[in-house]
Amino acid sequence: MIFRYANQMVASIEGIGHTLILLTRTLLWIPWLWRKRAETVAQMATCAFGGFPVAMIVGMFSGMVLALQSGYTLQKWGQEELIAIVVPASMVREMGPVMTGFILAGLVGSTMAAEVGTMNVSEEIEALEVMSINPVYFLALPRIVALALVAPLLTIYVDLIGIFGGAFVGDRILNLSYTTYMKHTLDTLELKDIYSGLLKALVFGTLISSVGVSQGMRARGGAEGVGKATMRTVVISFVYILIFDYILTWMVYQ
Amino acid sequence: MPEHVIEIVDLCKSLGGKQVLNRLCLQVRRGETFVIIGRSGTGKSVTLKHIIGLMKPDSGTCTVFGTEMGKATRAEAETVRRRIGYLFQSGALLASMNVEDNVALPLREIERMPEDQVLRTVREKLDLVDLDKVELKMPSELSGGMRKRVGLARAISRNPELVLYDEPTSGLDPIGTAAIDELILSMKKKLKVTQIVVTHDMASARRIADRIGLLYDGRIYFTGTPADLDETTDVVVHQFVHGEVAGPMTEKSGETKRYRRQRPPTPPPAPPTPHPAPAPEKQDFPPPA
Ligand SMILES: Nc1ncnc2c1ncn2[C@@H]1O[C@H](COP(=O)(O)OP(=O)(O)OP(=O)(O)O)[C@@H](O)[C@H]1O
Ligand SMILES: [Mg+2]
Repeated sequence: MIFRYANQMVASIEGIGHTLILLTRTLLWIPWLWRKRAETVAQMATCAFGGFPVAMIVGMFSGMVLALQSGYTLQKWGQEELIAIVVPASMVREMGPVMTGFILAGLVGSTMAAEVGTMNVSEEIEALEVMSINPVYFLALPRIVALALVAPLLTIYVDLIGIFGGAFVGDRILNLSYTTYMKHTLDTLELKDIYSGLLKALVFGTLISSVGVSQGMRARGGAEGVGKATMRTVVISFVYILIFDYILTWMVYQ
Repeated sequence: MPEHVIEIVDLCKSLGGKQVLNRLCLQVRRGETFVIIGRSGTGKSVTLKHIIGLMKPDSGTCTVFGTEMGKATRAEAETVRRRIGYLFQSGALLASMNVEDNVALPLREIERMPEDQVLRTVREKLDLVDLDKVELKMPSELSGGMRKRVGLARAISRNPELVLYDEPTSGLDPIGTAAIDELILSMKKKLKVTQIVVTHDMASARRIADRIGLLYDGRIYFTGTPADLDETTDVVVHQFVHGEVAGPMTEKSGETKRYRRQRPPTPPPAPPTPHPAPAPEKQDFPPPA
């Protein structure tokens, strides 16, 4: 029993190592990104269009529930106006990037793991090696860069929709007009909130794609191995998102 | 220039807890076509993967064009690989790209050829493997034999000096097989390419080989010209070449004895012909008109 956990521990440390090495190698290939521009843009398009519909629903309801929860509490002191401060700040700093991260992990990270994993078990990655095409350059570079760029964009979108969701709840349930809400939002939202949120999104996007591609590259043993790699990508990404969310918050606001 | 393009010395490799290659030695001369035969699962593909550097030896060395592939850095290995063409047993086409892009991939990514030249080369190589009007098809739309031939076109797209073929004719019809054999022969004659061919097809092995090596028990058990192969009285070789069910190759591994190569002055007691298995001459067929 203990032995099994020890084994799993070693395996997951190996996985972290592999992901980090892959990420470092990918960064070293950045100067060659221009050659892979078409592929990168195509990947970005897939990530973004895949994410948009879900992001809209998630963003909307995140904002609405934030407004509702804080609104009910603040109402006791007649301070429901404050939701116009609470909701945008929470969306931009926390909910936006984290929710986007979760969406991208489930939608895009898993797809990347499945794609690269399938290539791996069908000898396609070996074929690249044989042609002396580096798989890091060919597969990892466009995917990791694309998701790193798309994550902040999608976060901005989720933020905006979330803020609007808060305003909607404010208007319908808490008798707070849109104009007051917008005024409070613009008065109190700091630049630091915005860039810290976008920084988080950038880090999450990089992590999710690195995990996905590296899990795919480590997939062994046919379709079952690919399935496992996909599942692991989602779980590991969720854990990384929460851990790095804490670390980055602490770094920015300490 | 060294005489030997490939020099493998005492190569050992275990995979999945099994000793697949056990002190394998092999030398391939420049310009030679060397055919590797052997039972399924004896490590023919594994041997090829060591030559191209996809697998690293547990012990022993594998030197290709003077570079030891087991110890080479990535850059060194890539320099060697640019001179080698490799046909995977599965074809290993990139499923996300059409045939044309697959064949063009090394030309575009590594050689950075101008686009019109790329297209001309792709056309020419697809012609060589007898494929027509498939450029825009995806690999999933092709038959197994067609995929193999696209893989072959990709392997030779850079005009390599050394080509490794992992079962180039499996899954092909007799005419297709003959065409690939012709291709291999003409690569040898016209371009002086060194070639290693893994195959199960004894008829085509005889046609194309300068030398044939039988992989058995983790090593190259026998090497010789096609004529040597027919003359030898070695029981193992005999069993394989004639496709007999009973014999040393199929005995339980625990009881495997070492069979020595011997060539007694008197004719062997066991007559070579009256075997139930089809004689190799019958498998031969004339090249297509
Ligand atoms: N990646 C791997 N992991 C574990 N075992 C492997 C691996 N690759 C090959 N093997 C084992 O090594 C042995 C030799 O495999 P190989 O693919 O070289 O056989 P082969 O001679 O090419 O057979 P075939 O003619 O069927 O292609 C097999 O027993 C196989 O199970
Ligand atoms: Mg094989």
